[in-house]
Amino acid sequence: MSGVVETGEGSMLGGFISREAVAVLTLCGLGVLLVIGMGMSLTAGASSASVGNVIRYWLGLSGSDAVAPREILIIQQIRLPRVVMGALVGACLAVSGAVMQGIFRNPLADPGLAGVSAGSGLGAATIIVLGGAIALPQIVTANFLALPLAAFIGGLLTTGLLYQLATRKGRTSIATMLLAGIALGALAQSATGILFFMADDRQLRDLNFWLLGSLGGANWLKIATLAGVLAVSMTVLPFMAAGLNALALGEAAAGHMGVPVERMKATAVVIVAAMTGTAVAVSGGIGFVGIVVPHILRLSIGPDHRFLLPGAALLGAILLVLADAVARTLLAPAELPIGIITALGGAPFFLWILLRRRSVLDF
Amino acid sequence: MHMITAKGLNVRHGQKAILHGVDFQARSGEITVVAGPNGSGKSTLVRAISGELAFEGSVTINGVDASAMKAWEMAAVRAVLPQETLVTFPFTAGEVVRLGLTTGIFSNRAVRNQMVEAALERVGLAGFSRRIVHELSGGERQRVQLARVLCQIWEPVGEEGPRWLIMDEPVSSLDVRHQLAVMELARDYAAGGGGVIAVMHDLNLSALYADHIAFMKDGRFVAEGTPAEVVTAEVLEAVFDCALKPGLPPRDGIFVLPQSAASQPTNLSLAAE
Repeated sequence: MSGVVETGEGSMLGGFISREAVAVLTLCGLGVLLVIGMGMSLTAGASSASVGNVIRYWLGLSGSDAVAPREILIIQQIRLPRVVMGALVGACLAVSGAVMQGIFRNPLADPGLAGVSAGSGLGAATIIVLGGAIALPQIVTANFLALPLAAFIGGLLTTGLLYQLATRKGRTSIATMLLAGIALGALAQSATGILFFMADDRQLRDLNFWLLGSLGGANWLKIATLAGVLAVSMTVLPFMAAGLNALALGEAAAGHMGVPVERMKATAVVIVAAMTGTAVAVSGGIGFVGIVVPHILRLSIGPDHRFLLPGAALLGAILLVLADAVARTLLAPAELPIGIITALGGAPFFLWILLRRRSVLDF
Repeated sequence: MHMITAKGLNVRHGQKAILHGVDFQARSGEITVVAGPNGSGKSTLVRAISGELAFEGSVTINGVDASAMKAWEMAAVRAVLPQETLVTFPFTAGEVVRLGLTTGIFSNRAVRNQMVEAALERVGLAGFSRRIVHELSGGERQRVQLARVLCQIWEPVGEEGPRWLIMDEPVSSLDVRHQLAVMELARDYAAGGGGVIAVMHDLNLSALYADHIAFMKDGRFVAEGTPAEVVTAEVLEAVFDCALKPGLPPRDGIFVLPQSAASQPTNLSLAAE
């Protein structure tokens, strides 16, 4: 073994190429699936409307006489924003989960389970109930940025606090993190409960709306906010992917390899809070996307964050668009809150992960 | 000659002082072994030198103040093999080894893949690059980490001067054949002009491979020098508080036989001359 180092001999093709190729192909496949899923979701709903007609109308292939104004209204004003917002919310939640799991070095970290969503919810509730009293008079109705911003701050405080509580000497105990997340979540929820108690009727309606988790209030302003946050995050995250990979060996080892660990963690916490906060502000508490999506991806393309993060954005978008389609059609014309659908699918999945790798809770 | 030096190193853990104003130096082209009983401060010393722990005092690497170096600058001149590394997600051995190139200068993908394969081969794990690390044995996992560390500082001498391989108990989880192989690798690295600092428990391997041994006890250095100078019954007994009898192996070098309580020698001062 000592002596001359032998290199070469097809080693260029050995090792990674195939796992990377699988990952790249999977990402392409997910992109195609997302387009198909969004198209299918546009066709699903309580009232009938021909997507084909509307698309031909958009493309200028047919005049306005070939399509009913009602169809254009349903597709363009109601379903399209909803489908696009669903995709963006799913992407934000799934990427948040993947990043949290990366910095906590813990496959069970999730914005919902770890109390970040609850913290964001508290921020949003504070604005809805107290915003009128403490700040601009029309802040709730007129200022579409106040809600995401408050949710972001709530999420940031919760994530930061959680990290402080769950990490000792650069190591995160999985049990401590989950338990601290439960405690923080309960605390945020009880504070939210107090706000409910203080709220008037109109505020109660607003609170209930996002508490159940719904994409029903989709509009282009919310979509623009979400898209902005997602775009900034997905621009920053590729620069962190190698560092997140290194972090899988522990903070000390990542530091030894030249990763600026503290700066990266701080950036990651801000990104998670921004994405979760914005998602919660526009759609309420939609759980389990952040844990299910990265897990499925690690099983299929491996844990490399260079592929995991974009993959999570795509698969998260797909799953939430499909969940929303199910929510709209299962009991049509009535509509199930989407949070119920994701919990119905996600909770058993979470239990399955726990049973499959019980040992992860042992240290 | 280049050195890693530590001057007046104080490290505390809460109220307890782990290192008491320690001075230490390691020269390039040599294997410097730090030995001593459990809790003597060996790992703490290595972690302070690696830039992992807060300390009072000063550490210089190749004459540069370590506290003024950025993480990536440190990573370019020294790599650290911890006692144990837990990998969180199901990475393959090849992926873990490639992490050693995270901040490296090798941007060419083919070159990087070649280096990964070469590093795995260097530690006797050729063909392991697609195996999931979790599924390997403890010794194999440790060697995967060694390959990663090697990738980080592949050439023993760089533009900035010699590079440093810092290892905390590198052979503890290995069988005897791989223990020797890792020590040979360290010797090659030093022979190539690089520096090696290793925390070791195995006194025989230390005596066999070290150019310089520094014995620690209770957060201080109690003896240092070449193996012939410090691997003596007096020093060993003072350091480890138990009877140890150095002797000469058939050819050259020094080796140490642990003595069971029943066979305590009457004459503890029997030293290798």
